[in-house]
Amino acid sequence: MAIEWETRLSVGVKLIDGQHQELFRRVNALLEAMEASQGKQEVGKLLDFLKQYTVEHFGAEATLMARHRYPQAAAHLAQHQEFVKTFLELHAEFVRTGPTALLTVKVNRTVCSWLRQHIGTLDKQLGHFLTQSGALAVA
Amino acid sequence: MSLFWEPHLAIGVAEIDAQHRELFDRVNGLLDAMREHRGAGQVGVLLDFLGRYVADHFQAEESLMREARYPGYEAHRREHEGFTRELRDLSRAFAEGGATPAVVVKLNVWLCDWLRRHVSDSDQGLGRFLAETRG
Repeated sequence: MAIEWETRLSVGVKLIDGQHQELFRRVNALLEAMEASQGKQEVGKLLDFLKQYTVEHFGAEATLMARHRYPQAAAHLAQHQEFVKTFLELHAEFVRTGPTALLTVKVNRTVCSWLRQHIGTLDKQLGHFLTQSGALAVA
Repeated sequence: MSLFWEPHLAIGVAEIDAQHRELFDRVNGLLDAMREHRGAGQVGVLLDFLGRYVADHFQAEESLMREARYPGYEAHRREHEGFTRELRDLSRAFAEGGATPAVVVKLNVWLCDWLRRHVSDSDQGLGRFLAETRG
């Protein structure tokens, strides 16, 4: 059970692609730990890493959008916010129940499918805008 | 032998149906891993996870039955209990002796058979009851 990077997910902006790949690595590390029923503390640490990294990554994207006056920023940021909310709900469930098998599957289903969907659509549109508008010749 | 999800296996409770589908996927993943002779460590993790997922799933079903005051609760719970016991024995046999023919055959035949039968029979009964009582 893992989320795999594929070239079709590239948004054409090096900085963002690199962060997405790191995000995938962190999601996989978390899922592996949950599958192998590592302790609550270990899983909690990975979950915290992922949360922090996600927030940083969303921040980096938001900065790019603001700097280059991206017209679709509002809709894009709304999806980020929605994801953060979902993530916090999963985190709260983790605090309540620990790394149960049900939660493992829920994390896998929600986080992986959201990432694939979001990167494959909105992030690609953003990447297209940034590269086409000449905003980022070398990013 | 693999498990295939079919629409007639749905019991009409989204959460439970999603868990059944996941269960089928997990069993297939485990059987694939054994067929491909993946290491005992990897297969062990899959088997262990399956055991935990089954336990969580049974618990979810049983609390649903209790809430709905399902009259078939006791018999259904006993089926879960029997399955849990056998799966535990099987996991122990695997941990001790690895993927022996006996373990592989039992996983291939018994596990798939039991799940298919339980979901298409006992769980359907629960689904019908819930549909009737919930209107």
